[in-house]
Amino acid sequence: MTKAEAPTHGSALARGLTLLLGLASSAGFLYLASRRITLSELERTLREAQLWPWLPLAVLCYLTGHLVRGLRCQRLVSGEARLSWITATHVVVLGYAVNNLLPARLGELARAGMLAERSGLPFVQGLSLTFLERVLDGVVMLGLLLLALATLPGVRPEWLEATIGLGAALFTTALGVVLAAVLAPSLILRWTSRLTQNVSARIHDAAVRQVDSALCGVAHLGQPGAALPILGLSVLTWLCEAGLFLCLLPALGMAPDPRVALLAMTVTNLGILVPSSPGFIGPFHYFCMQALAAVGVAEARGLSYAALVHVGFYVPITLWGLGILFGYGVQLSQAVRDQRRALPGGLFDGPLDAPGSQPDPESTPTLLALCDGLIPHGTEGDAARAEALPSAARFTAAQLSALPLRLRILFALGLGGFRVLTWLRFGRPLTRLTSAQRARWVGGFAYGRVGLFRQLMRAPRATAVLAYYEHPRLRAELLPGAPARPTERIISSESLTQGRVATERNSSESLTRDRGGQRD
Amino acid sequence: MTDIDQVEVLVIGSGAGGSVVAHELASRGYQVVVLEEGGAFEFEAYGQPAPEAMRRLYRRRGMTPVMGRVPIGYVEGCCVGGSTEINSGFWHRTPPEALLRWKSRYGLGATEQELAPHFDWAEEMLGVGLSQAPWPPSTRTFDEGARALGLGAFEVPRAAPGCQGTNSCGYGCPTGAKRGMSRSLLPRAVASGARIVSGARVVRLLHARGRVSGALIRARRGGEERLFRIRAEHVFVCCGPTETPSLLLRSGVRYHVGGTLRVHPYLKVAATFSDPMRSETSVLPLLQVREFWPELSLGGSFFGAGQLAMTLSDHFPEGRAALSDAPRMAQYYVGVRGTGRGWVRPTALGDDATLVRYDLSDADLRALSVGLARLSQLLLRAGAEALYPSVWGLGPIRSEEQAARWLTEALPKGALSLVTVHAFSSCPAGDHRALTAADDEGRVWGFENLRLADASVLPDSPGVNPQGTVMALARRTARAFAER
Ligand SMILES: Cc1cc2nc3c(=O)[nH]c(=O)nc-3n(C[C@H](O)[C@H](O)[C@H](O)COP(=O)(O)OP(=O)(O)OC[C@H]3O[C@@H](n4cnc5c(N)ncnc54)[C@H](O)[C@@H]3O)c2cc1C
Repeated sequence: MTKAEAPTHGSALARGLTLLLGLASSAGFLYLASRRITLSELERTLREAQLWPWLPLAVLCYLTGHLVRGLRCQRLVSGEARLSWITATHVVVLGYAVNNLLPARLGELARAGMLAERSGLPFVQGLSLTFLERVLDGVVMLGLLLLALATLPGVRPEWLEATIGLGAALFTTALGVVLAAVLAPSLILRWTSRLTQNVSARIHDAAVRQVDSALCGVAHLGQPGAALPILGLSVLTWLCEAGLFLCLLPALGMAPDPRVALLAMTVTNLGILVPSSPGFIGPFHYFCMQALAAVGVAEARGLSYAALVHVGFYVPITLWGLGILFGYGVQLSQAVRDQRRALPGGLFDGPLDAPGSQPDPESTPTLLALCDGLIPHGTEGDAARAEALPSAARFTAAQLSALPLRLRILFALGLGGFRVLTWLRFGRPLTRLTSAQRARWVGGFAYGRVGLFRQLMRAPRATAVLAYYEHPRLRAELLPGAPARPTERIISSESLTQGRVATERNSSESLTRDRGGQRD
Repeated sequence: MTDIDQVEVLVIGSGAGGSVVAHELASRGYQVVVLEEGGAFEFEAYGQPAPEAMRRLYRRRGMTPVMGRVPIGYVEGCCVGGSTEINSGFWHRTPPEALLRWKSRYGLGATEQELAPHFDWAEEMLGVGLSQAPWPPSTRTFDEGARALGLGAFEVPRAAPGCQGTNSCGYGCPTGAKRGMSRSLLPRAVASGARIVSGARVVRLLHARGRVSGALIRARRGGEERLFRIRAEHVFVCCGPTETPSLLLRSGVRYHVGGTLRVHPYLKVAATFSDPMRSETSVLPLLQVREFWPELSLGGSFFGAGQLAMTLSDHFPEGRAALSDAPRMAQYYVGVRGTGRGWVRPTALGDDATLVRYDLSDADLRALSVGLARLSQLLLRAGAEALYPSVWGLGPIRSEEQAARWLTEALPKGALSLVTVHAFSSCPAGDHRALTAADDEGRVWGFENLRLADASVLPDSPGVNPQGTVMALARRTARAFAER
């Protein structure tokens, strides 16, 4: 073992303490959960449990949830790396499995390590991605918990209020951090650089790089249209997990009430945020049982149910995770070390990419419809219009996406309002109006009396009109005889002398003429 | 990130200011590295249709509007050569009045005599001169109108020897006749040993205790975005009028930075004549009426089917019909000195964008109104049948009576569609510390090795096309550095 790899005395002590604390916490919660239950009672309810078909169904729901998580992870890294769905799912599953086997949520590190190893993304980026997923999970879970409580009248134990308050404070803060990272990444980077620049170059560089990587981890959420699908997938994930809880209710003779399942699922998952032993033994059982107790389920049945859900939660994922470890042979520390070695070379070490080499954003049907309304149909033929309009819409989409974020947000808000007004006026979206209707309606905004509306439409109007009439077909119709814009080299021979002609041409006489008198 | 990149002189930005500094210092034996955010392009990439040209050569594809009570469309270059690659190459020396004002108000010591050799040099390098070809109809017509009104119209020299009239100035000159920096000074700077790194955006200057130690750079290599750090002994920030203050503010350098932006607001007017104008296939109108200087100038504007449609779109949908007269049309402008105030700030939200604001002054509005009246009179006298100013709900103007209205009335602010391509003064330079961001030699107050050399240092609006002034002042700054 090299010096760098050798655990220091302090870190070994810290790890030992963490483990002890986790075990103590688990024991404490197990005691709390079982103190009023006799073992025989527990044994009886478990023996009476009807496992078929409920347990396999429950496990299926839970595993489906992981596939959805994989999809979400794949989407979250899509801006930076290509991961197949199955690999992304494996990354997720590995994290869960390691959390089941090792203490202190080491699974999060394992998962970031595998993500780094599979995608080539920095380790810290993987960590920030995990953080983002956890925050999304927390927010969705809180939402589902509130939903469950709203639909279960009379269920509002005091401890639950406190849990919700705590969870809300925790996740709102975390969400604030994520939002700041998504909305103001440059600002955060600048401040990191500013705060560390006087310490030392090494620390500055390391801090800047790590913060930059972390910011990249959450950057995908800032892409237009990205946040909603991600949020949707998060909701779906937790609904699948609620399926695990739902399917096991009838296994223990309880009615399969989705509200109860939601309550048990959310309370349990918030509960296992408490540090505990690997696999969350203790808190898992205690909180799950408490949730059921809140809806009147007897403690013994509640604990049996918790134990059963824990089996469905623990065993398949742990086995799957072990399989992944075997299959991929992931060496976590190796991945992290590789990352350290793969520092970017110097600015002069090789050519940089030409700017703007990334693909342009695609247009949307709404934008196409908007362009159709913005550009009045003149004498041009339908065929020319059919060609030029989509290219104008594509250009407009690209141009609008180049606006500074603040203006983009303002424009998006304005366009949102316009779409609502369109619905209110016509009962259908702009895309489903006839061309004549669009021209009148959009024209009323873009060319009408209200200055604010004209300002709203100014950017799309200018870009759409520019691209439309610069389209070769339209241009040829408007300016017959004008040559197409040059596509081949027609370099003036003089230009190649790069300035030498200047001496001959730039007679002082010609300049005096400009400054002195009128040309005759 | 690496520590090995250490340079003697780091020039950030390769436009009119940066190229001059790079050339001057490289030719004196300094080890110079120029970092340019935009790309480097061959001739083949120039002169492409507007959408492609804007994507490659313009900052944020040309979507950098100036906000304010009257928003102003603004563009600047973002490529090797900066805005000089997409400008029209019109050339002016700094008006003596402006220099006198700058000296007394801001303490900028540059006099007409002192700048003369710098102008001579730049004019030689860029082949500045009058057109050698016969004037195209759009220029001739303008001349006739000016004569009919008894106004003096002057052909403005251009940095485009051998211009072939491809009408592509705004999209990069495909013949190379227009001497943008990538075709003139930068190759010479490289020949003298300067190194140009394109695609490298400086996101922050690193500094401590009044010394800049280097810069943090964002660039892509192998499809991946990365951060780099470069160390430098001396740094020249030449990022242009909006990006220089933005970079300084992002770096925590604030003293008089970004709060005094000025622009030349322009109002475009499309004119229909009875004869073909051949605007699409000829160079833009070459004359300017400067009778009303410094408040007002009248001249010719870039023409293209899309550009024309944009001007006419203030009259859409009815005005759409006017487009069928495109072969008989040309575009002109009313430009005003710009006495309003603006600011530049980096955004806190999103990527490293810059927000720009300018509030049109009442004097600007007045000058634009009078200018529209004058230009309309001139064009009508030249035989124009209809004029379409880029003012919503106004026009077409068909008679001098209609035009004369604006001699006394102010144009409606909310109806204006203004544009500008000239911005400056966001970090004024001069020895009067109470008003400036940098001293007479362009050195940022409080920093021993940080200098500015671009349009941002012009203390206020010069009232003429600024490239000449930017280059002359940049050379003066570079020389002062080398001879210090
Ligand atoms: C369309 C148009 C037409 C014009 N016509 C004329 C004309 O006819 N005559 C005239 O005199 N003037 C004209 N101008 C104005 C003139 O071109 C500018 O005033 C002049 O180029 C300004 O020089 P600059 O060095 O300040 O900035 P620029 O020439 O714009 O150069 C700044 C450079 O810095 C780069 N940069 C910015 N930020 C960073 C960063 N953080 N890191 C790295 N690089 C960065 C930019 O990409 C750019 O290349 C025109 C301008 C435009 C846009």
